[in-house]
Amino acid sequence: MGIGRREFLGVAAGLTVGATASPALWRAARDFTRMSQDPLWLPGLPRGPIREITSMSLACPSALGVKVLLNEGRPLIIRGDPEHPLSQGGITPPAQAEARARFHPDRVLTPLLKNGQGVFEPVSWAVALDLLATKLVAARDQVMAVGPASRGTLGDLLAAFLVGLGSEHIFRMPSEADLAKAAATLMGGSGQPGYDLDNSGGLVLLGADAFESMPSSPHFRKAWGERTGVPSTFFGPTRSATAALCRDWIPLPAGEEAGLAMGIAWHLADMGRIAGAAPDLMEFVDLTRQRFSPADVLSSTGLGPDILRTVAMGVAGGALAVPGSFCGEGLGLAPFVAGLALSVMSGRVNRPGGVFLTGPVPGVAWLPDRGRSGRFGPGSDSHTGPGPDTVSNPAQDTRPYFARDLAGRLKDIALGLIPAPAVLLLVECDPAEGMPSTELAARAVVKAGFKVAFASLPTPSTHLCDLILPAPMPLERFDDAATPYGLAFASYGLARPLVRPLGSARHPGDVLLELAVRLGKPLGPASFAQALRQRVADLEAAGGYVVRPAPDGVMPWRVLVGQAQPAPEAGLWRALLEGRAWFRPEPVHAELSCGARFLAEALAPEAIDLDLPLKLAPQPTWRTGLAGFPGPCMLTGQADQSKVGGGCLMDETGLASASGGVRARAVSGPRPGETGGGKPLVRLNAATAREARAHGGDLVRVSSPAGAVEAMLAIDESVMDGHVALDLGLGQGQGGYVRRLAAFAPEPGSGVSVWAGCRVSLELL
Amino acid sequence: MSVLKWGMVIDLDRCTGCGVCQVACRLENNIPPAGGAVSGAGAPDWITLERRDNGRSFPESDDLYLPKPCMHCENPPCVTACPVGATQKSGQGGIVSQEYARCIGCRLCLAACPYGVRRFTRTDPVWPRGMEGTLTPFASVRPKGVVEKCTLCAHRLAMYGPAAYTTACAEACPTGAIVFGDVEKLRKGAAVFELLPEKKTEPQVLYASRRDWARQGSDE
Amino acid sequence: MSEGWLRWRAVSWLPRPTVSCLPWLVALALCVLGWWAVAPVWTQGLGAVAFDGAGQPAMWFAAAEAAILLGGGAFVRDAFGLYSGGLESLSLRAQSVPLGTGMFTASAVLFMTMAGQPLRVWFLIWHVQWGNPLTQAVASFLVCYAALLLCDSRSRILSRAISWVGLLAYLVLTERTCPPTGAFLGLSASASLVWFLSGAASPTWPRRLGALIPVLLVLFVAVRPFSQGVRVSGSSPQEWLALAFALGCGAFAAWLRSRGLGASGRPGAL
Repeated sequence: MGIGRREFLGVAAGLTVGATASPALWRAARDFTRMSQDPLWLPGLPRGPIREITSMSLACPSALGVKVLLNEGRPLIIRGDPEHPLSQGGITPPAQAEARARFHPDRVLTPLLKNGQGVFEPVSWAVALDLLATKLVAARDQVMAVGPASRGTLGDLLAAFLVGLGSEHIFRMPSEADLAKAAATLMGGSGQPGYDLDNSGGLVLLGADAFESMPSSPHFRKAWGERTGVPSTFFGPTRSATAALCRDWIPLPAGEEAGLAMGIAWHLADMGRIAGAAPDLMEFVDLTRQRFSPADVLSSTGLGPDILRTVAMGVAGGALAVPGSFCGEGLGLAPFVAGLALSVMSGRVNRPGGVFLTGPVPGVAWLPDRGRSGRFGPGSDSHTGPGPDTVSNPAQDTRPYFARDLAGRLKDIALGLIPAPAVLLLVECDPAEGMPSTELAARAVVKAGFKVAFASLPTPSTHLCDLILPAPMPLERFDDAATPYGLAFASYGLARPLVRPLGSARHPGDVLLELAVRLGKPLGPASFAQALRQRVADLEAAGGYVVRPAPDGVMPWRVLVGQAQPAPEAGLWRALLEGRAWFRPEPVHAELSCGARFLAEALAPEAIDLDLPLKLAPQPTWRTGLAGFPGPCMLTGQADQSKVGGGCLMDETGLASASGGVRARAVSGPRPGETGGGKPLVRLNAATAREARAHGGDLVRVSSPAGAVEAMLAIDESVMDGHVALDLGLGQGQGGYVRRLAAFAPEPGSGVSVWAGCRVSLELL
Repeated sequence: MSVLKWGMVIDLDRCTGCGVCQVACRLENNIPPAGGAVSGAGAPDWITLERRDNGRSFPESDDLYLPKPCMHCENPPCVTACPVGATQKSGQGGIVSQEYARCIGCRLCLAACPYGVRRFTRTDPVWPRGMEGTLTPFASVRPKGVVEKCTLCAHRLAMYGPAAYTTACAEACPTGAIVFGDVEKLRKGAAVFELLPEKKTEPQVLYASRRDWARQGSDE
Repeated sequence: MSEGWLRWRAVSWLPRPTVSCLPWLVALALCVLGWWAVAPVWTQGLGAVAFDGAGQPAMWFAAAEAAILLGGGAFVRDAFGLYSGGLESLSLRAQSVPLGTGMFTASAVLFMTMAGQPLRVWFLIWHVQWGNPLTQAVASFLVCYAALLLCDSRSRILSRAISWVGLLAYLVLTERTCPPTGAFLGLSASASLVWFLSGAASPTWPRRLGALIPVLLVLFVAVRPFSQGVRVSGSSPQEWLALAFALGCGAFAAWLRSRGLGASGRPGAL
């Protein structure tokens, strides 16, 4: 009705005028505008000054120098340190991830004990250590420990701990450094071989993955990436990142690295370009003539004599021959011996641009029992720590040179040939992921009586353990790193904690020292930091120097070509804590042999199983991690399937549920019948796929005697014929699926477990 | 208006596809880790690595990795497409800027960009608890529903000045494949090429390679 | 006070018998549907939809485009003065304007849902970029909508003028959103749709079905985004819900408009 409408309009008009006059409406409009442009629920940015601290990265084995930017004591971002001689500003994804990795949602924050139902429950440190001490006392010397592959004081400490318990079952995750070192020892030298890319005029990578998985790859990338026009050749089954930086990629079947080196040696002898001397040179040349003539090499590797001739001319002309595996693992000693023999033949051992035998970095002289096993004493080579070294006379000693083969040992335990240890300590390592034939390794771990893992993130191995002790992550701990494998000069770097560890994480070194005191066998230092101090004090007396900041700094590779080495500085500890590195370029002088007798035994031809027509070509990629090291969090570098053409999506282990227990879930890759998660990609080229009667996009099963993996097939022409490529990485459940397929066998003459070139079959699902 | 044009020359023969540039960009610009609310979506990277090959079979096959940030074109189609002016061609060295407070999320710029370098945030960013403590002050946190893209780390220009100005990806690249600076100076005497020259966008990010097939690879 | 006052008092608080509750119930139902359909999209982002290659939720985009293209028939009759021809001209009018209103409302709801920041769409007016095609499209859209709401004047001349304005705005809009043939296709399709809907007066089925062909043609053009790799079957339940909400809003708007116009197509008598 008319009146109703007018009334309503009057009221409405009054309300409008009142609302406009009051500030509420305008405030609301302002807040609305602000919120629509800057929502309140999103996290804010840090204010205040940003501090920059230099340190060393612990997340990857390259001992990189990094700059950490902090705000109010919180690390924000990691950048490369351009002043650091090793990395010169270069950085790797694991190192970049350090700041964010601390907040990985699955991070282990408290000690976890597996209860009767197989569920992990948080316990206190007191309970955990009491339990562990009790178990250790009961086990006496039936204790086995596996340490990380990196060469640091923690590994030495672990060895000393076990020695104190009376056990000698100390192992380390396999790495090429051990193999190279054993090869050098076998050939009559000592020290860890390193490759002087900085001064070389050419490069021949006999399979070595120098620019990706090798620990010194950041340095090598810097050294090599800026060069143009310098000849470089990579031999391997796939065009990897290393091949991308080389001028030529020559396809070489997996596992044929030793044959290749011998074939090149044949050409060197044939051309008469032998510049070096060795006691068994003639024996070596005879061996190449008998078994590695061009026809033999052609049939085993598919490479013709003209290719090898060209490479041999390069080697004779000064190119550096670097032995190794294209995936950073899986080889025996023979390829290293053969590869080093090439350098011996061309006289490039301990010469600029060649192979250097780097000296040891002295270790901590604090072990109580030096007499019994002198190899852990102060004069010992802490390079390898509890390693395969110190065979005094290779000719006389009949033991396998590589006495500490972890893969073989785990296999023997799994098959019941040796009794399983009563206590198994896994210190920051992941055998159920990182060892070949992961199923065997997992079985061996399960067989142990009481299994303890020191870890910061759940891994397939921690899932199998009874007790998980949280370890601090990089940026939260003291730690050190000596000479990453591949460097031509000894180096040492230190990292210090910049923040408190999250949760109740304690350094494994501190935990071991406390346990040693409890068990009545103290190791000396009161804490891990004190152990490092002692080591640095010993280092001060050992010579070497610290590179000064530019422009005064003398780079260690310049010292190799003759520049004067600066005098050592006082205050080494302070300098190392500031993120600078110590170097000793002086090599170990040795007269190397060519290892002819060993090679004659080790390079026996082997039978090929025709039921397994394809070869496995694992491809390491920075995006998923590195071999031998427990994976850092890849929250910043997740494998991108569409771009890399590989990578894998795996179920990740253990999420802490609301009740505090940890639900351990599927580990190390998909098993047949499992749903959920993505399938990994297996890459073949079109010709190989045609022979296998498969097409891109098919679901296939790749099988070997050691295990099987279900994957999706992708066509990739950067893989050579007859090979299947799978992306390799470590940590976060990536990579274990590849090692599941790796069937290994002991190498004749050395006993090293070899799985390079292992064969697989492919079938459609 | 300065004649200086900030840009990059990327050497495709030195790129190994390691992804360090991608990670450096994520950390610098507060890009949240992958696996947020949207299944199957990776992190919204501002620089991506595209793999290209010469289309031939083994053994004549060849491939390369191509890092692709925003091209910061001289004639940017995205600037024309934006109906509210959230993206502008800046006078400061020609950087194409993106203003998150102005963007209405219509995604016309996404469709207009021929290189596909713009990202749309479908959801609010999700950080695992505690990880938001690693946010840098260099880039604002983007809410859901706006478009974001590479800014050539323009905050570093303000922080470090033009003499020391470089992007996070160029600084982190381990082989020196990404070179940042004044494009006019960088391209002198170098055989560089641009992506999608037929679109006439005149990008300020250029590429170099010895391999002829790399220049002919067609893009989206 | 008299009995009359009491009666007024009693009656004035009650709903008038001519104002039914149905629109309010329908509005309430739409609010509930909207809560389930678009509130998750507006609060949590466009995370649950399938995007096409151009970064648009393809199904919504196609539906919104189709709605715009089919909504212009409302102006044809008045603009061209088609009052004769053996057709039931008044019912034609009665159907075309609400149809247009409903289409435009549905497309507006869809566009608001698709925008990454729906609260900021006023920037299109506040920070207008004159050279931009979308600005022109938005302006045309608003003009069309206004014309649809206003073209019920008692004066035929005014109504015709408004319809011409609306028609021209519609042509600009369809040309901008669906180049290059959007205007032509849209016009023919929307006119045919209106003619099809007035089929009560068309005696033969072939003529009626023939009128559908341009409609199908425009739907085909509008679903071009599908060809960019997004399939309808890949759409999530959220997308269907939002589509249903938009169509519901459109139907509601059409219904309200038709009630305002009445059976004769003219305002006033209901």
